[in-house]
Amino acid sequence: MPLLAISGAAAQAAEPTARALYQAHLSYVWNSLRRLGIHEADREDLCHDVFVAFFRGQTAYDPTRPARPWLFGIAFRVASDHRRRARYTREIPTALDDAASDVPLADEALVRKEARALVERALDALDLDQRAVFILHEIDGLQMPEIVRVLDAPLNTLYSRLRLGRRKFEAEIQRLSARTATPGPAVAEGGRR
Amino acid sequence: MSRPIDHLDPFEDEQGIRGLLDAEANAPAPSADAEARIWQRVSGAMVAPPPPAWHGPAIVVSALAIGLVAGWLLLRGMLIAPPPPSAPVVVVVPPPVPSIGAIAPTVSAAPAASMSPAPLQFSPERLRLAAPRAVEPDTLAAERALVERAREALAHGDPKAAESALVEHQRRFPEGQLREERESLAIRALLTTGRARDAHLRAASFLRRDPDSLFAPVVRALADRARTLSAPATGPTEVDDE
Repeated sequence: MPLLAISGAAAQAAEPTARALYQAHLSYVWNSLRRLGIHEADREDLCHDVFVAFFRGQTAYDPTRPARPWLFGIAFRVASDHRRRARYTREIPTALDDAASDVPLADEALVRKEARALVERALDALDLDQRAVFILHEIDGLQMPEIVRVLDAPLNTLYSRLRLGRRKFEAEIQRLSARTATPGPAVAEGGRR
Repeated sequence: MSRPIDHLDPFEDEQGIRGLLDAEANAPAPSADAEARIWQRVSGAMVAPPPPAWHGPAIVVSALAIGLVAGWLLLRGMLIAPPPPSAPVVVVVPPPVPSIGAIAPTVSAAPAASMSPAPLQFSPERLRLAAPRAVEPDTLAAERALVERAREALAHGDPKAAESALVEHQRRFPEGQLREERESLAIRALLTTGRARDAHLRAASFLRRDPDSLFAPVVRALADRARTLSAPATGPTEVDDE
């Protein structure tokens, strides 16, 4: 009997590294970078940087813990460096620029896309530190003690950033909703106006 | 003094903010093309040596050694006439590892005529002392095609086709960007065709050379399997990847 069935299965079972990890978490890294204000044109490069940093530092990663907070910590540092560089070279485009250039979408997809654009615009009102803790707590659902480990900042500092971030985000949603034809409630319910 | 975060008021849901954030949490993934492009670059970067980093005294010792060798070569070049074309070529040949099928030794098997004659082949790249090579998309695509062919063949129960692709990869890209991936597949192919002892030896060789490779966990698992299968013949040996 050929050994393929045995060894192939054994090997595949042992191969949740690398590509499987990448495939499982690419969407999370991609969207985290978007939420951190990285424009689509730069996102592939930065995704690459995040995963290379993750895999090269993998010995420091405890595989018994969730990978996403770890990946977010890397994405935050990568995004922070990128934004610092980009500030001196060109303006960072906003999310609505992406939406405006795309082909027409079905109604529901358009509503969702506009909702994401609205969130991105509101996130733009937060500075990057506030943005990171806001994303982790309000979108990813992490508890504050976990966020302390991810962002390596004191708990009280993070509380303060979250409080300020929430206030700014809420105010920005109100302002944008008043200005645009897609106010919050309809978007939030996924309904159509 | 600020209140604990637990006492923060929830968002006013008149704005639908909670719903907006929940929708944001389910944002779509990037396109399949983007996923493939990024992976190709990530996997290419992972098989290249990592960027040079400060490793304290080891670096100093290495730098001194390189300096001495380079200085000696420079002096030799200045003081001694260049060696004739038939002079022996200094190449670094990796320790022999079990080959699959017709896989031949890499550097040492190349025809002598194809190796550059004098001057001495002191190549930082061959000695793996230089910074990582830049990923060359064309080469990487060719490597990727061979490795994927081998992977597909293994997945479809055709180890001979896999070996053929791996032999070709080893011949064309002996130190290619996907060398580690090739080795992990070669070890699996050896196991698949019942050559457990060869698989074990090749895995041990891989782990000695690249203990921190991205593929090391897979190779360790394959080595364990190979050791189990070859135990009656070889006895309880341990793979030493330190």
